[in-house]
Amino acid sequence: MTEDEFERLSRYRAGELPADEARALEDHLEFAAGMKELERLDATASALPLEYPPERLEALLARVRRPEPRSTRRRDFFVGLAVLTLALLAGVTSLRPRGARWELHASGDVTVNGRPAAERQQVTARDTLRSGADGRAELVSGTGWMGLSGGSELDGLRLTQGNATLSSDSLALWAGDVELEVRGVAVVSMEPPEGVARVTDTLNHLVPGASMKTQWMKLPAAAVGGAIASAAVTLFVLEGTAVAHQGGAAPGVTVAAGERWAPSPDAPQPVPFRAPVAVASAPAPRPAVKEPELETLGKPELIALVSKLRDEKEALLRTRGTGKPWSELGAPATSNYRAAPEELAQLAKDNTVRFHLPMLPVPEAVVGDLRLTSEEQAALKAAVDAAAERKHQGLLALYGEIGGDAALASTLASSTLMGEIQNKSLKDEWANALRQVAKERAGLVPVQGEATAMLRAFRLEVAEDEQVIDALDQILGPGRAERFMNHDSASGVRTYRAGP
Amino acid sequence: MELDRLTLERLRRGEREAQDAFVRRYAPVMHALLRRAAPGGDVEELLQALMEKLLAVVPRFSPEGTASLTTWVFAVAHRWILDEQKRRHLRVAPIDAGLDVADERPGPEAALQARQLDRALEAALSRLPEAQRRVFVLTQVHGQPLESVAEVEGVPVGTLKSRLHRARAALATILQPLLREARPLRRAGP
Repeated sequence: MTEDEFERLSRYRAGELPADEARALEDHLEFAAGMKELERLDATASALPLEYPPERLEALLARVRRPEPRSTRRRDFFVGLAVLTLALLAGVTSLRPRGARWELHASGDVTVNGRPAAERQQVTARDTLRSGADGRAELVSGTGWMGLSGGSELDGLRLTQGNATLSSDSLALWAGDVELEVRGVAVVSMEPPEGVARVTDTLNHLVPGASMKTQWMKLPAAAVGGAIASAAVTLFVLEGTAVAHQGGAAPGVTVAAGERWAPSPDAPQPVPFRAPVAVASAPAPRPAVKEPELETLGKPELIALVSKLRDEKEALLRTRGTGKPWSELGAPATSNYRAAPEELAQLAKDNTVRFHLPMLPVPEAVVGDLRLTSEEQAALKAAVDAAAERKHQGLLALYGEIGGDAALASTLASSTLMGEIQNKSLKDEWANALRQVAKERAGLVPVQGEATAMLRAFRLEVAEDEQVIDALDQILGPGRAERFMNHDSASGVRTYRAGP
Repeated sequence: MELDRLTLERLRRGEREAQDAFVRRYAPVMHALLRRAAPGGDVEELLQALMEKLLAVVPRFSPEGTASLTTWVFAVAHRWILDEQKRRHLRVAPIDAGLDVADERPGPEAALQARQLDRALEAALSRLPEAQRRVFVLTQVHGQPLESVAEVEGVPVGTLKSRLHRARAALATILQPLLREARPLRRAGP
């Protein structure tokens, strides 16, 4: 401010300014005060706290880390190779590296290294498999499942012709010069230029003697873009994700469910499911029981169909009692409803606990698909709210028991309370409690004995999670409850995972 | 602070140490963003899902492009929030998480005053319409460029500016008594 302006202010404070001049000054002062207030607002906003408690950050890191990179595995491979070489140089000659072993189930015209395949035999990554026009080869290993049919050829783990369908938590396959890592369900196509790619839903996991459903689709060239050229690679991901590494070079391109990828263009593109899709007359060794009008299906309906088929397959597996452990079938055994005992055991082995997240309010698509009445919707909401409230009250009590401030706790949401309990726990208690509760849920250990606050908090969460599913059963009946929980739009899961 | 080029390269290769560095760098700001711009869900759940998404797509980030990694991350997160809100029908709820972190500012009286203003601002934010809240949080709290935010929102920059002015006016009106009392403000944002 200038000296003159201060003098005017001084006269104003003394009441010596003429009335009109004083009013003009008051207006100006009000405006200036507003400016200051806006400045303070902006400064406050830009300085709001952004801290995140380090303990929660560590837990978050454990939950969101992605699998080890190829480069590390490759490095490990070379380290292993060096060790092996040194061992051989040292005269240890009895070591014989063994290729990956697969169990082959063959039907129709299938050959291994040019000779007719047995109905069931072991194959390794050094063998060449070929399925003729009416042949069907299914490969099962501890890490996944792969299917070949209709003139497809697999040379070791390299697809040289036709299509392979894969279902795995972690399976690598070469197609041309592309290495594909599949974590979910995907179809790899190495098609000659006739202009079609065949896609099976791949959900007919091997069940000896069982008549499983098989869906075949023909995606015309228009649906897969210009990727189909001579021996071109096309990748479709139906569930989960896959990573494509061209020329074996990192980085890979991550392809999500509902997307296709081809080397050019490099970026994954959504599969235009609304493009004309025809049911192929192509070989279907086990005739489909029911073939929906695929031409009329959009992407959500197609995904729902895949989900439905998987549910039916899981139900069939359960009722037929194949006697085979789930892991041997290579099935991606996941259900947002009640997990199968094998799935719970696998989760416990992975130190993982999954919680259900029914979507509320219920999305319209789910209301329509399941024909939910307004009373049922209200009952669902009441059940979920009641479980959330019980959990919250339990966590409040627990937080008080371990010396937490009741006044503070009363203002916190359940998730924050869990974080606070974690903050007040010892370093490894979160992971230990998670491992323990995963085993308890799988029935591998009894729920008893002294428990830390963290374990009791997890037990509470598990108990209320199961109460919600029980309530869903009562309100909708088990069949509709399962469909609700596994509906693409109705629910999800929250996963906690502790390190080994 | 941006991640260095070497870390970015290792991140694109999916190396775990680089993933950890990425999560350590961005989880706190994403948590703050979700808490303020997407209230209504479980913030920890949303954060886990968002960080999983970011780790999945970050290999596609090109340092040769026009956007910095931070701007790119915020744009991805912003789109994700919009998608998530459509999918989950998130409802606005009072913000109650995250105010329990230590506040390291000088002088108890000034600290108390500033903390009151912080709390009042957090509460006032949750009263704004969603679109106004998003633009205010992204541009004023996290310093994201108007052009980038406008692109994700799918509106012209002028429209976004109007939303921002309306948001500031609404907040200033709500907070006027506290803003008048506040001492000159003190710290630069991270």
